[in-house]
Amino acid sequence: MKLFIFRIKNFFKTLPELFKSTKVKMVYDSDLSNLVESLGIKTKIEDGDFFCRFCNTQITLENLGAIQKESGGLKFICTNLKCLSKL
Amino acid sequence: MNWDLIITWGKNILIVIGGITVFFTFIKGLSDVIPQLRKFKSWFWSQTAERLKNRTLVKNAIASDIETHVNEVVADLQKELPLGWIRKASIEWVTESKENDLEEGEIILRVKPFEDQDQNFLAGVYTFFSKALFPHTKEVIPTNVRKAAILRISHRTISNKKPYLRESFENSFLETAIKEDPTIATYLGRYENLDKKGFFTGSFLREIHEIATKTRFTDLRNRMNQEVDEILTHIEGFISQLGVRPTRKIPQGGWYRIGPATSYAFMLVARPEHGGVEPYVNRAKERLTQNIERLYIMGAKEEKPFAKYVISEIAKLPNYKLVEVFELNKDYRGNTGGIGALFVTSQAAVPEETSEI
Repeated sequence: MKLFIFRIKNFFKTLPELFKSTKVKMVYDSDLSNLVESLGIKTKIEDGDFFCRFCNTQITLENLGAIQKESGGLKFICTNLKCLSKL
Repeated sequence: MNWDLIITWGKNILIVIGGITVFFTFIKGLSDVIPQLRKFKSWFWSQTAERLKNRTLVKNAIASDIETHVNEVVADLQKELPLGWIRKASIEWVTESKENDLEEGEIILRVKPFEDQDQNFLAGVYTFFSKALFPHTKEVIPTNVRKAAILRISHRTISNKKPYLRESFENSFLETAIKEDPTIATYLGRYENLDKKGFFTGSFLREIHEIATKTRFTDLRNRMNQEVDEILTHIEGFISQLGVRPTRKIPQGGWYRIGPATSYAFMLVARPEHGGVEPYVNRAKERLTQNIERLYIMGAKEEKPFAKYVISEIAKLPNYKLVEVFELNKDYRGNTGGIGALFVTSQAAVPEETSEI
């Protein structure tokens, strides 16, 4: 009986979880330029000021795979899956 | 001009638009809770995008496809991992942002068109687990311990649900992580060993999450690595003794561990023919006298109904609070399935609203 009551309570406790989600932020290929511009880093990327935080490859709009906020600043990761897996 | 006719047409058009909106909202709502409908949603978007070649539709199709596949692989984990860890994944498209809008540690992944969908999916699964596992304790748990746990869970789910992507995941994500930090390989091997008997997600992840929660603002936080290693060693020692007749081989002290932050004990439930439920309840009472705060019940797959009965009988003891009943990937005999439960002693119980579990 106690397990049954626990299950009923648990059902109502877990019910809201069905409607919550883990949001994964993504940027579509053709929106990337717009995104980096809104972040105020487009010119710096075009000037080659940023490097992949893992393999040190120069970041361009073609090889930018992910942007991460860390230690209060933005870090960049290239499209190489090996670098993305280090996130 | 026949205004009556125009008004009637207008009304009819509005009714059709309203009907379509209600229908799609209903389908969308249903697809949030019924996984099978997500496949339909994903198929619908990809077909429409292919025919109309519209960028927004293509984005919808990609997001829907990734969400469907990620949710498909993570759905079973909801019953296995602590409540609130695994929620359905949803893609948020970012088109513009200010640096201050991003939270510390937050990632924006670039997604390429459909031809790179496998890569999109692998990156999506990995990012999802990085975000989902150990909510609120990420920064307390040592990076190699946490990363190996994410990789183990990702590897297992991809191998089970998308075996054709297993090699690609191993060559990219696993290989790179190990090259970066060789200790991850050691943890991966040890986690796999625990996972074969249901103790990885069943007890290990729950224990380190609990320790991380408790030691967040204490000196013990700096010794998390040591604590994790000791728990791993204890569970490894415990499962190495599990044979055909497990209870005969495990020394008395092997059933529990009293650590600086938490104390836990295991109870294996399988044999109703050995005196019924009474011996299990007595053992639970015995753990109370030893001041062990957390009691894990690990029920064998073949004896699931009996294990549930034992759990309900222990739940009647006034000093125990039933925190969770969860499913096991493998039972302690190594069979797929099984049931687990976690009890905490009333003194150790945290108020429900502040509990991480």
